[in-house]
Amino acid sequence: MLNEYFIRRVLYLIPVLIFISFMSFSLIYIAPGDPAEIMMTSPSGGYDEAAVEAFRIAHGLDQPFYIQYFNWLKNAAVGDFGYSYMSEQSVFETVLNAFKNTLKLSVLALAIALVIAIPFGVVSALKHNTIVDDACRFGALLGVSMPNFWQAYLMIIFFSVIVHWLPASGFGHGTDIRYMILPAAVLGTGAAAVMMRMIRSSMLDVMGKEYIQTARGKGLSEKIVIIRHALKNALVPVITVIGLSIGFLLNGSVVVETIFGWSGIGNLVVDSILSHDYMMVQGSVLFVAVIFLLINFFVDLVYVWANPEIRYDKTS
Amino acid sequence: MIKLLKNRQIALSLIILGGLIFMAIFAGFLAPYDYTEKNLQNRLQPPSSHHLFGTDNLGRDILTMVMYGSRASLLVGFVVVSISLAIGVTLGVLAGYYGGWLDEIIMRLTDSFLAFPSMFLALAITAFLGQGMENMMLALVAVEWTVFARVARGSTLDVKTKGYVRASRWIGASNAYVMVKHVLPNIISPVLIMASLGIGNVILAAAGLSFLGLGVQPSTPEWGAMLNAGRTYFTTAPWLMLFPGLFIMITVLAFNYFGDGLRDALDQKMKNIELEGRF
Repeated sequence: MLNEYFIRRVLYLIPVLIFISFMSFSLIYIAPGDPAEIMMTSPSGGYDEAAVEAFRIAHGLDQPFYIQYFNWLKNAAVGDFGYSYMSEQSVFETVLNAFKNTLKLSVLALAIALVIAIPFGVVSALKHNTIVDDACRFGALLGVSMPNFWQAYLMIIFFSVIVHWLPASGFGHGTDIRYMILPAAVLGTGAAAVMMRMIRSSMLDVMGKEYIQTARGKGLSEKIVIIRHALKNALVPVITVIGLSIGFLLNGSVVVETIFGWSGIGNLVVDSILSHDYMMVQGSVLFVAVIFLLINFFVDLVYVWANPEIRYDKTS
Repeated sequence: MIKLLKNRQIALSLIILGGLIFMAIFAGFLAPYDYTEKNLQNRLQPPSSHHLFGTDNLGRDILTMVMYGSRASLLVGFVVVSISLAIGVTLGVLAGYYGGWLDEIIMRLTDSFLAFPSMFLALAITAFLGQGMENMMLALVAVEWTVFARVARGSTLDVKTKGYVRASRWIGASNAYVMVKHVLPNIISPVLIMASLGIGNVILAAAGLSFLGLGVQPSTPEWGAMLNAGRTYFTTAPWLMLFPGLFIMITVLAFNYFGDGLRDALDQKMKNIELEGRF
């Protein structure tokens, strides 16, 4: 049964992959104007006629649309996203390096998020409908509603300007953890808010189940019931929550990395847009989409594996 | 309706939202100054009795800017969500009602849009379309419609199995009639809940794009753009960023709180669907 589910999920991936590649490729055609001119336009707005013509021929832009797409796809499939017109570096390599940095930040952010979300989510569910629950829920709502760029500046003002504990921004060669704490905390607290709400409702759900009553009936202490029985089962949906927060973290990385000067993929995309490096934008967006799609695919599989009940419904 | 208003959460969020909408509509009357009024001698003044929220780097009154700024944010939120709702609900109902290959195509299309982390898709579209408010709204619609398509499809599948829908089809009602008369009214509450949460998400995303300098341009008063302009002065004049950010948060919070309350009050089934907005 799992095999059949697996095969069907893999088959679903194919049209989606084709479509996202098509969307990424077509981006350049939604821009008003000639793709070669747009690609070759410098930040100052001018372009060199000869360079445009050379680009047009080099990229086969004189050929029909579907042939262009096919050629582009053929290259993209083997990791050839072309070269940045600005830095003349391989788009794929640049994107890959930036993504590694984003991954580092995301892992720390995810850890922060789980450390906050699990205890608060559980307490909120156990103290259901009390003032403690209300406070936790309101805190989470606040976390979801707070603009991350605003929170970033509030934290910089406090931790860097007032108490001087942490650097306001910078990359620190990507290894100095002091540069990671603030951006990861901004990303992590936002993600924690989303997670906490889910853990709470999943915990509430589990606490009402028969096996919890049974465990209680057996005379087990409340602590054991909660930790051994309820929490274990309530954490299954957390797998999905982690999947969802990957999206949240990636989205947040755009603004947060830009503010903190962290050389990740979000920062790369924003910089590339501002410097009109369209090859880089196209490559980054496709790369992020494929990674995000695959992460969600694996999260789904793990979720189904951990929770066989849902194998046959909710396929899409 | 009256029962809904008795819900404390819904009533409170409606009061706040009402206040914000009132402020946006009557900004011209309420604002103490003209938002175009620059006074360089008065630049970067901290909050005082003359300028409650202080003044910005061009000497403009921040309270005035914040009041006018609510127009852009609310407009973007309502317009983007309305268009997304129209597209998403239409596609979602068609997919759920007819099923088969139409469902497959629509849902794979939805999946493809969902494959992009929303901020990246919105950024990519604004990057290629060019900056500005209309293009930003278009980019946000491209991201937001999928939420409605999925909710509408799910709810339609549910409604389709109900006795009254089957009965209506047996007595020969046309598909279009069934969809408009029976399906739509019965999927409206989950759609409204998503719309309220969606407006909050869209306002947040729009502010983010404007903050990056890719949305509303700094010449128009808009909260995200104000935060962008205030970045340079955030250590010396933090009020430039404090107040617009606070208003973004209050507005988004009110929409989320409202959507949350609506969900608890209207839809038992949606209790477990948490705020999984696209942003």
